[in-house]
Amino acid sequence: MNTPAEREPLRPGPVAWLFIALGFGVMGTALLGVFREADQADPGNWIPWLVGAAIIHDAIVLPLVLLVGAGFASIGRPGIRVALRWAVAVGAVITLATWPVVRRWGAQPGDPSELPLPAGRNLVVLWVVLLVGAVAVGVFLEHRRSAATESPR
Amino acid sequence: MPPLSQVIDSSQERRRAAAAREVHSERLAAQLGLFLGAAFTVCFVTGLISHLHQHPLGWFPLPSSPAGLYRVTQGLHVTTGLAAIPLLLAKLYVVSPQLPRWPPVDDVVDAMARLALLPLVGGSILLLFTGAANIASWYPWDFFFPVGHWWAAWMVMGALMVHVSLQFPAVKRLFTRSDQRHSGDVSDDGRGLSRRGLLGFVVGGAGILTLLTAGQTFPPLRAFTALAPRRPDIGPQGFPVNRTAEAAGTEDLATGDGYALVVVHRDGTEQTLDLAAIRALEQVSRELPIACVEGWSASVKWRGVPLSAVLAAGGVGTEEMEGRTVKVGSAQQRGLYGSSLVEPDLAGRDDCLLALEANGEVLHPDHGAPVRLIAPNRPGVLQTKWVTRLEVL
Repeated sequence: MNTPAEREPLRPGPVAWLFIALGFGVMGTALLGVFREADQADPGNWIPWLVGAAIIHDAIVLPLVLLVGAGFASIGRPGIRVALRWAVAVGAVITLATWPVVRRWGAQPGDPSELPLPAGRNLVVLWVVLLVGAVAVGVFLEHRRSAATESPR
Repeated sequence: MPPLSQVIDSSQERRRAAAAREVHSERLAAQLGLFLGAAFTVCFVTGLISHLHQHPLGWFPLPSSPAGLYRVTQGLHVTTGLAAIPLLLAKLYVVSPQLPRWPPVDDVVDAMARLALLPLVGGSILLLFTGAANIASWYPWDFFFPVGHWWAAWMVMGALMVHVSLQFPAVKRLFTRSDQRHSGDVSDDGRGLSRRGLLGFVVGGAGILTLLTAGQTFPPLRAFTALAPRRPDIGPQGFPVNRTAEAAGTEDLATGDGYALVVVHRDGTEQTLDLAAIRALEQVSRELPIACVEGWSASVKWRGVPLSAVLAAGGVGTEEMEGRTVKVGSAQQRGLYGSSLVEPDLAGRDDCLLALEANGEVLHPDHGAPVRLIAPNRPGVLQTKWVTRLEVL
C-alpha cells in the first residue's frame, strides 16, 4: 500500500478525461439548477449546508470518533475491547441515523399515524441489548483465550 | 517550541503510520467505495424514478403496472439510503489520514481531485442527512426538500464520476496485484481498530438499521419495526396518513353534504356530479398499495368507481378522452400537492379509482373523504385526496 509520501501521481487517460469533464459538467449543472430554482433551492442556504456538512464531519465528528477510539484502545482485555467497541460504534450510528425519529421533531399534532412508535424507549432497549451482549461476548472470548493459553499443546 | 517544519514533519509521520494500518489501506477504501458507489447508484436510480413520477416527461412514460412497483423502488431508495450511513462513515474513516497533508496538493490533477472531494463528501453527507430527516418530517433547513435533495444527488453523482475516473487505475491495480491483498487482520499495535472490526461495524450498523426500519414498507420485517418513522398498520382504517383533513382544511367535506365534483370538458364546459350520483355508479373493489415518498407503504382494500366511469357520467365520451391527460383537483386549502395529473393509459384502467371506501369502511376524513384518487404504481403525493374537480386537458 502507498503511504502519502509514496503516493503514485494521478495520470488519467483520454477516456478518464472524458468522464472527468462529464463529471464537472454534471456538478456545474447541479449548481446551475440550484441557482435557477433559487426560490425553492435557496442557494444561500443550500451551499452552506453542503460545505458545512463536510466541515462538521472533518472538524467535529471524525476527531470525536478518534478520541473515543483512543479510549477503547486503553481497555486491556482484547475480547472485551473488541466486543464493546463494536457495540458502541453500532449503537452510535443507529442513534445518529434515527435521532430525528427518536426526538419526534417533525411530529404533526392531530396525526397519530406519524412517528407513532416509542422510538426513544426502543433505542434504550437496543443500547442495553448491545452493551449487555457485548460484555457477554467479551467475557466469553476472554475465557476462551485464557483456556487456550493455559491448556498444554 | 519546535519550528513549524518540525511540527509538519512529525504530523506527516503520524499520518504515514496511520495510513500503513490495514484499516486505512487503499484496498479497504476501494472495497468500501465499491459498495458505497453501488448503494448511491441504487438511491440515484430509484430517486430518478420517483422524480419522473412527479415531473413526468412526455416522451418517457412510466409504466402503470405492476401496481406495487413504486412501493418497491421507493422502499429500496429509503432503506438503501439509511444503510449507506454506516458505509459512508466507514469509508470516510478509512481515508481520513490522507485528507490533511502538506503540501496540500501535488500537482494540478491532484488539486482537481481534491477539489472534487468537497462536493463529494459534503454532498454525500447532505444527501443522507436530509433523507433521514425527511422521513421523520423534520426540516431544519430553509430550502424545499425535494429540490435541494434532487440537486445534491446530481452534485454527488458528478463528483463521483470525477472521483472514480481518477481513482480507477489505482483501484484496478489494487484488485489485480496479488501483493496488494490483505496479509492478515491486524491493527498497528493490536489495540486499534482492525479491518475486520471496521467491516463488522458496517455490517452490524447497516444490518440492524435495516432490520429495525425496513418493516415500514417490507411486511415480513414488520414485527421488528422499532425505529421507523411509520408503521404501515397504524392509522385510521389501518394505514398511515400524511396530511390530515384538519391540516388540509377539508374537515367539512367529509360529511358529503353539499359535495360537488366538477367535471371540466376540453372545451371548458362543466358538469357537476353530487355524491349520490357517484355512489349510484357501478363500484369495483381493488387491493392497491399506497406508497409514500418517505418510504412507508401499505396494502389497502379500496372500493370505488373507475375514474373513466365517473368521467363518462360527467359527459366525457371515449373520443374526448382518447390520448388525454386528466387533472385531478383537491379541495385542500393548505399545503402542496393540491392536484395531480393522470396520464392517458392510466386514466383508462379499471383499477384507477375514485375511492369511496377503504378496508371495508366509508373513507375516513384523513384519507380523503368523501372521494379520493387511488391508482396503481404511483407515489402517495399523487394519490389526490378530497377530490372535487376532474379536468380533461
